[in-house]
Amino acid sequence: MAAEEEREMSEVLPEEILKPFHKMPVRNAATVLLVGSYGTGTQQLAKAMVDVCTDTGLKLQVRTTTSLPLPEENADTRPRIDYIVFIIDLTNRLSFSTVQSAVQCVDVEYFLGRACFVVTNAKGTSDQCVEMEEVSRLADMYNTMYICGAIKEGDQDERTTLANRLLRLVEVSAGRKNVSPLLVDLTCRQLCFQEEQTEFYTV
Amino acid sequence: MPEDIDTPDHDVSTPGTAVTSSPGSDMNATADSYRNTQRRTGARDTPRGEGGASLSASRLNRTLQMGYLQRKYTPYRTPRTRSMVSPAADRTNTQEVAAQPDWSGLVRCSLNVHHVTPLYRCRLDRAGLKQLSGGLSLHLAQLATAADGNLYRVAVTAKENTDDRIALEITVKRKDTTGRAGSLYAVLCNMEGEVSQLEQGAFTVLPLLLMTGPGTLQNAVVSWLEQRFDCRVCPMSFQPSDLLWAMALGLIRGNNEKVKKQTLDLNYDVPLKEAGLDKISLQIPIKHAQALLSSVAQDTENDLQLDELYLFRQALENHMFDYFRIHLDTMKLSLVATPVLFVDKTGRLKILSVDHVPAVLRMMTSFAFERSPLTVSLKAANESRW
Repeated sequence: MAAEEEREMSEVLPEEILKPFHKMPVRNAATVLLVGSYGTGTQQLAKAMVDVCTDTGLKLQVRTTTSLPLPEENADTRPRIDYIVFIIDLTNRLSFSTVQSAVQCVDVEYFLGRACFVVTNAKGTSDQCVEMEEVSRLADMYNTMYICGAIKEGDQDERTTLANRLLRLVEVSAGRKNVSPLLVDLTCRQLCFQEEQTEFYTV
Repeated sequence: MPEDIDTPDHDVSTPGTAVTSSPGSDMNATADSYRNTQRRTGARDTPRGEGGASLSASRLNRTLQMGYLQRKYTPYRTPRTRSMVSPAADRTNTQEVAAQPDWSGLVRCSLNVHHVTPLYRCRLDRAGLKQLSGGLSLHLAQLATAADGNLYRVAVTAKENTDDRIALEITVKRKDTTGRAGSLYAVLCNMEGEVSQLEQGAFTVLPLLLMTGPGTLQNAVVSWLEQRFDCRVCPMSFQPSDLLWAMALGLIRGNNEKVKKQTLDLNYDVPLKEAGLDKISLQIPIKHAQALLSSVAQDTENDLQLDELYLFRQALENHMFDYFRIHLDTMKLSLVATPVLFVDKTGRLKILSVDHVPAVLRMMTSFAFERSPLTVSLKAANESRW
């Protein structure tokens, strides 16, 4: 059975994986989870998103965490997480490694349009410890889009722009627009076709 | 095992294999269990949901591969392996020692590293070199003030390496003082590309420039080079990954007994300067560092992999966290010092032993090639997705 296989393979218990469809959705409300280590600006981004959302009629709840899996004490009272945002700060290697371990604790359904990576400090390569190449490789591996934005550096407008972008994606994911998030996700990405390379497949 | 199919490709030369496995990663899977568990954060797919209700990521990835949805990777990515061992010409061979060029001018002084675009119309025969000396002394005389008119004596020579590589050597000496005080010594060389690549039409490819001497003289020489050869000379700055490669070179090759302090020094820049702390310096006895590197690396004789270097760094940072609760991974590595060499993020280099100069120059040349404008723009084109 699948259950035995996965216990010997990973250190994450099955109960701890975040799943999108195990709870009922709430009308006109959405919940976003921001995953980012200390210093990446999760609180500021959360505040910006809530500020943008106050007049749209959508009740937005933003939850932040520095690592996954989420603690079990709140598991029953926690609402359904509609969208997950992983925040990577290119000047902070720790943020990249926490995101790498966090994506293993998330059910694969989230990667079909209900999650994205936000990359901050992407301008100005002088202070960067994490290379953009590694981030794009991670995003490719999970087939999830990444957005480059600014949370702490720069001015208030950039943060608001990023919050607006994320809000569009959250609304789709919460079911407010009559479009499936998977469809939106497919239209966001360039699809590039190449010939099958059979010699690299192992059975 | 199905997990192996999803480990990222470690081989630079095969494009488009980011989500498929290659024979190399299969070999790695059978290596130490320690290394496998350490590698888990990079590569694993998400765990399968219970009861098989949700689609596992590995099956998702495989169906996507079958559906040919994949990004093409061009070969211009950061190299994942570097050779730590110089080719056979460098090994101490008693017959060939006399033919080695004399690099002692580069040893034990603080060098500034620059990368240079290809030089136009550089003639390296005797007449050409005389012309260059005359041109440079004229340029310096023009820049000098009226008081110290004819102060400098300029010599431009070419150095031949064992495999027919030519390096250009510029010496500017003050006429009134003896010794190296106040004089400049610069070397333009190319230790990495094939010999046939040195001359491409009218261009000579000598991408690495190392200079030592007073700042004004350095600026004067740089402006003369840009004028005479229609090239751009840019100071090179090193990213933490480059510093790690230099550290690995220093650890693997280095047993320099003449230096008093046999330690590996790593300096990290602390991001919050208001807290009163500017940098953190980590010192490790060189024997322990070498033992750690050899335990992590599979094959230190020839090629070192980028992942092995990252494991080494991870080990040091975890150790620092366990003992001092300091997250070194939020900070940026700015300086590396080993008994053999000393490298800074601003592009200062110091080589402390003359035996290892060719290997260090080779690594610096490969860094310079990675920064040449053509490869930089190709990398940028590769990064942009939509």
